[in-house]
Amino acid sequence: MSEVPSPAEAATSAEIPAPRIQAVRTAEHSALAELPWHLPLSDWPEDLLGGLPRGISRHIVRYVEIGDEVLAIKETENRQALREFDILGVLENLDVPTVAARAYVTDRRSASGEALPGALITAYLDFSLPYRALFSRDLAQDTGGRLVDALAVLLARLHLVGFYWGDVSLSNTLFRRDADAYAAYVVDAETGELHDQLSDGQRQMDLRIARTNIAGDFLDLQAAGLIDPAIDPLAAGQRLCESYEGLWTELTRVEEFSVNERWRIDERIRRLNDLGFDLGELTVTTDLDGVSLLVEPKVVEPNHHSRRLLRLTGIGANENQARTMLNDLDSYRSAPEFAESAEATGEDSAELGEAEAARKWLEEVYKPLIQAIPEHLTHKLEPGQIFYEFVEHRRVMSRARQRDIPTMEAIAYFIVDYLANLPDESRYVDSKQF
Amino acid sequence: MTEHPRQVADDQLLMNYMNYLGGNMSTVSLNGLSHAYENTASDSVHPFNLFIDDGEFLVLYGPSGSGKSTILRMLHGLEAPKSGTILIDGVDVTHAAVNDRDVTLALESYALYPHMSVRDNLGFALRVDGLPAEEIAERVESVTSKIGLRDFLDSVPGDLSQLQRQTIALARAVVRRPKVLIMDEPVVNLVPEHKAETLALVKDLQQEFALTTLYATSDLEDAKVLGDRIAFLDHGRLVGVEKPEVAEALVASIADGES
Repeated sequence: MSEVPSPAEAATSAEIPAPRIQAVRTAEHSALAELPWHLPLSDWPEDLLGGLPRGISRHIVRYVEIGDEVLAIKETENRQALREFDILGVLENLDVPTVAARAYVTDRRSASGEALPGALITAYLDFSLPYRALFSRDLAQDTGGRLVDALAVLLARLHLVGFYWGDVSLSNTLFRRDADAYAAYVVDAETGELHDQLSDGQRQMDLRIARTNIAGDFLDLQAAGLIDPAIDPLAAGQRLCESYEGLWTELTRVEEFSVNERWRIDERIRRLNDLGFDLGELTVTTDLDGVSLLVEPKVVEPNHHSRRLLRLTGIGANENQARTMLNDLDSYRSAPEFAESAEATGEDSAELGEAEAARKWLEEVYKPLIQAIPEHLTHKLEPGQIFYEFVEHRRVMSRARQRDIPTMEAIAYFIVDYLANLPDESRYVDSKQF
Repeated sequence: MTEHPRQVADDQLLMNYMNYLGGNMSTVSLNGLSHAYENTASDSVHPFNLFIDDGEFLVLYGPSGSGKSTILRMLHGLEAPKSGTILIDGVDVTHAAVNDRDVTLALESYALYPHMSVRDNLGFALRVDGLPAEEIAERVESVTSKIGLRDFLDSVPGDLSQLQRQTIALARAVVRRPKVLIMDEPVVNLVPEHKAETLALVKDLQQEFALTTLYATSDLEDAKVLGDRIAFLDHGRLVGVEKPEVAEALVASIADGES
């Protein structure tokens, strides 16, 4: 631990009032109070810090490890710290992917009594990566496009709940792997506003800012030599706008059908499910002549596959990871081994419902894989991503060997040949690589 | 009154000359403008008329909830008016999309990119807007000359002082040469020494480029320092528009009226 005096010690020696650490949502209140709040964040001693600051920020950000969490501490004005703390809390309650606010700090003073800015404390999102890190380590094709698509989904979800972001960018977002795509999380909400419903102008403004900022994000990556100079940075911003508009239209547009075309409502619901959304409420209006129907989605809920997987198995996973697991569950139900396994316990596979099949899949497929991962490799990837990578690895291996690979054999190869060679992603800030 | 043909010709000539110099002739007319939030009984902004002249710095002053930010948001296109019209240079933009009204919010894009030069940090948004490379270069050099940072065109933000970085962030709005620049309490969260520097910078940039500017604040001292005129707002009503010299008297009369 550092030899810098704690605020309590400094307060005693110089009679400086201790800062106010408020709305603490962590058990580590006393450890938070021990941090050197009387120093500007830029002067916090290196040995206290868990990593280096993010690339682009208006504010100084420091990471510290307290208890079993890494906390991100952002220096900002008192009023702004409270405001962003509140906004992040509301977004979390609305089930929007965001970093979790832990506390905010006001009334900071230096040892000589000068006022210092306040601070916002958020929990570091395990297994998340800033976009710069993904470009520096992930050589997969079209990484940029997949990040932009994830940001478009996030923006549509934010707009559905009435959140105007005001500073949409890759820099203000963190990404978690989600099967062969990414899931995006809001990490900086200080310019945001919550409304009952957004106007078209507010949505247009967010897109305008996004288009400019994403071009800037990509140009900066090019200037840093992290992406191919042949990539068109302006196309990335345009891709976000197109991806967002397509999704927004599908989520919100009013359709007119003939009364004889009720099947088209099912088609609409299926399209929304494919995009990862559920229809919570639908308004159907018949015109005065009773000839046509106006169909308008009123409540659209994200995470269609995640929620279905959670209901069937209790596993929490990102949307595309859940889609992979549900597909694997379907394959498992139709495989001859499932019928044999059911027979062994005196059950008829044809009569086993989806819930029972899911229970068996959990015990015979999912848990054996996750439990086989040695402790020292559990920091490589999230369990949901481990499952996805395992399925992909087994598929490639089976194709190469022209035979089905038994589960336990496939798990052994996966761990030794693949997982052990990946970098740790659970606590990226620990690796001090950005 | 009918304008003399010669007068019209002179005005056109002057406008052409200003455009040649890089200035923007821009007026703003807010006519009978009002606003109400959905599901609320009363107007958040009651109908008012306001004309902002070309190159004028107009401050919207009032406490939180007085309607000043809502007026800026209607001008910007983020909120739809309940009634009235918004004219920019005589063109009705009341229902125009955000991108079709040539209004820029200062500090719309906050971050300076660490690996990009000052030149690229200032010019990249113009690339996004589709301007040709020669025009981007001309605008960037012109702006940096006027703000005294031409020698830093090839520097990266890390080589600049905090004030220089702030200047570049503000100059990003100016380099777009918008018809109207708007600012919504941009200094409210700054510590006092940075606030004073930023206010001076805002005033310098506005005067240097003669930008038609609307600036919202709840700080009367800031309003007096910045504004050519100050529009006083109280509970969603425009209660007066005055020169800064008589601001204190008007504030006192508003307070008397409420007591």
